[in-house]
This record gives sequence, structure tokens and C-alpha cells, in this order.
Amino acid sequence: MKDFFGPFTAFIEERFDLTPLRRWARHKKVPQHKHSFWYYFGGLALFIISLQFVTGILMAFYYSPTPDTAHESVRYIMEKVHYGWLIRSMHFWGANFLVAVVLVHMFSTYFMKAYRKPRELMWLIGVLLAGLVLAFAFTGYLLPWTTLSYFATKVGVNMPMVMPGIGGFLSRLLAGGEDVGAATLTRMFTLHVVLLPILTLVLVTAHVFLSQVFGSSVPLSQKGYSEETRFFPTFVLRDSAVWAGMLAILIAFVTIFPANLSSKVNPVMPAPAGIKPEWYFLFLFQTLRTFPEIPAIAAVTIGLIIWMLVPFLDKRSAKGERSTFFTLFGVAILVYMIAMTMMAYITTEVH
Amino acid sequence: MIIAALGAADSLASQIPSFSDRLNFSLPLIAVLLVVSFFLLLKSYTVERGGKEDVPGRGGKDQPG
Repeated sequence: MKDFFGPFTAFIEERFDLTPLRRWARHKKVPQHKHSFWYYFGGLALFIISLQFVTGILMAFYYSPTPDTAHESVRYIMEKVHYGWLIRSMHFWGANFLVAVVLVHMFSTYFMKAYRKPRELMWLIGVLLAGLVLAFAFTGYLLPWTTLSYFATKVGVNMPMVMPGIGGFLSRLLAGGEDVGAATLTRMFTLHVVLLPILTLVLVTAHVFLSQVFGSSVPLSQKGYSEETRFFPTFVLRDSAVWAGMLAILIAFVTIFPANLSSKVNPVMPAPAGIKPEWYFLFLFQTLRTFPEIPAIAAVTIGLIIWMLVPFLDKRSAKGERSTFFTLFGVAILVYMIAMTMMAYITTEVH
Repeated sequence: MIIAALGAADSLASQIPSFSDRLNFSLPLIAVLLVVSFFLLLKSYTVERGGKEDVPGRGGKDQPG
């Protein structure tokens, strides 16, 4: 294999000095302890994001973002384009897996207190990236222009309306008018394929760069017990093994449950009963259904701000001390999200 | 439930390949990916234990870059 790449390596080495890169690869270490398993979720998220980019670009060759053609173009992708069903199903399941992996990565980072000094900025960028992943999911949902995606987006676009002052403006900004229509479809498409990918590329680059600068954080409980393994080749090989396994799981899902395409929306028809958002928005949906809207929105906003500022609020972790309060805060958020999601499943009619 | 879901998926997009066709396409791919994954994992442990392998390029592990 070395001989196979030999001429290519020689070509590069004649032109560029690879010594710093080689030195970096040789000396970079990854902590090895009983919680090291969680380190793989960051790389896994990066892998799925790459898959989403590839499958998304392939679909963009055929997709047409107008109310007259959106549904037909998706049907064309599914039924006529070679392996179109596979590409779209991978994009669909990839989005679901990505949200799940990003949530696991975020909560594992939180509970290992990996946000503590000097990684505060990494945490902030990570939370923003989690928000971008959810924004991708929200903007992509409308694109097939089905009854379900139309009315679910309508619920989402109307959510800011309850906010005093800027609520109406935000809602119109998202919808491109008073109601969900052609302008909303164009906006969601532009956000989904232009703005969000650019922001994601910038933030992912910054996140990965910072993770190389600071390395992986060792949980406080493992200080003194942690060994080290080489990043190259050991960790890279294991990361690749996880990625290959993930791809196998994704293909299995795609084969057993290919993405379906429900009926095209007729906007003048009333919304069908039991409309509910995708699983990752259910906790928010249920929060708004359970509590008065303005206090609910205020509580979620405050919770999110605290969540983002945790590295600056958790002074004990920064000093290397246990911070039970913030562990309990994380547990409370997680339990609340799971409980609200389950409640939404139980109390909403299955569509 | 899985069977019902398969049926629903097939009826909603009747033109996509049937479940058996999809399986014929995917099973070899999944098998290859799992084998690759297994060997990568095996290799990582061999490399870690042996410590013989090195980053690509000239020189051994302990030689200065």
C-alpha cells in the first residue's frame, strides 16, 4: 500500500514541507479511560454531516423548489432517478441520526464537564452547531411539499407569534408572508442549501480546529487514571471503524424503512388531525401545549441562554472541583426533554 | 409492526425497488462495511499493542521528524 501511494507522497513532499504535519500526527495523543467511548460521537457527527452534504448535493440536481414542482421532483428522485430512493432515504435517515448523535455528543460533553476552561469557545460553537442541525431539519422538512410537512411547518413558523413585540415580524420573516406558501418554500430551500451549509462549514472548521488545539478533555473523575493512546493511527482507525459501522446501520435502515412520500399538500384543505413535529421538536411542541405560551417561551429561552453560558457559570469545574449543581441541572434538562417527548407521543393522535 | 411498515412504505412509493431487491442491493454492502469496520478495529488494537506501525512517511516511530 505504501508503494501504491509512494509516487503521490513523493510528488507532495518535493513541493511541500510535511515535517510539521508528520510531527503533529506522531505526537498527538487521545486520553484513554473508562468514558473514552463518548469521544467517538464528535467524529461520528462530522461523518454524518459529510454524508448529508453529499446526498443533499445529489438531490439538488433534481429538486425544484416551487409549489407546483417540489412534490413531483421528489417523486421523480424516488421513482425515476437511479438509486434516487437510496439517496433520499439516506438523507432522511441521516438527518434523524445526525440530530440523535449531536444530542448525545452535546450531553456527554456536558456531563463530562468538557466545557470547562480552556474549552469554553468550543462549547459555545458546539451549541450553535446543534442549533444549526435543528435548523437544517426544520428547513428541510417543508421541501417535499407534502400535507404533513406543510402543516407541521405552519405550526413551526407560527411559533414565534406568541413572542411579544418581534413575534409577528419573526414569523413573517420565516414564512416570507402572512402564510406558508411559495415564498416560504423558496426561503426554506435557500436557507437549507445555501446559508445553513455555509454557517455549518465555518463553525465545524472552527470546532475541529479548536479540538485539535486543546485536545480531548479528561473528565474530572478520571484525572490521574487516564492513559493515552496515539491519535494516529490508533484513534483514526477506531474512528473509521465506527464510521463504517454507522454507514452499515444507515444502509440497513434505508433498506428496511425507505423514506416515504405522502400526498401533495392542498393548502386550502383543513389541517389533518394529530399533526405533530418530528421527534426532536416534540419536547418544545409539548411545552407550548402544556404551559401558557409566553412563560413557556421565556423559560425555554432562559434555559437555552444558561445552557450556552454554562462554562462561564460553572466556576467549580473550571477550578477542577466537582460541581453537583450543574450535573443536576443537566439531568433536569434531559429528564424534562425525555418526559415532554413521551407525553407528546402519548397525547397526540398518531398521524 | 415492521412488516406493516414495510408494506406501507412500498405502497406509498410503489415505483421504488421491492424489499427483496433493496435487500439484494444492501446486504452485500452492509456485509462489506461490517467486515471493513471489524478489520479497522482489529488493526487499531494490533497497532496499539505492537507499537510497530508508524505515521506514513520516512523514518521510524522514534526517529526525529
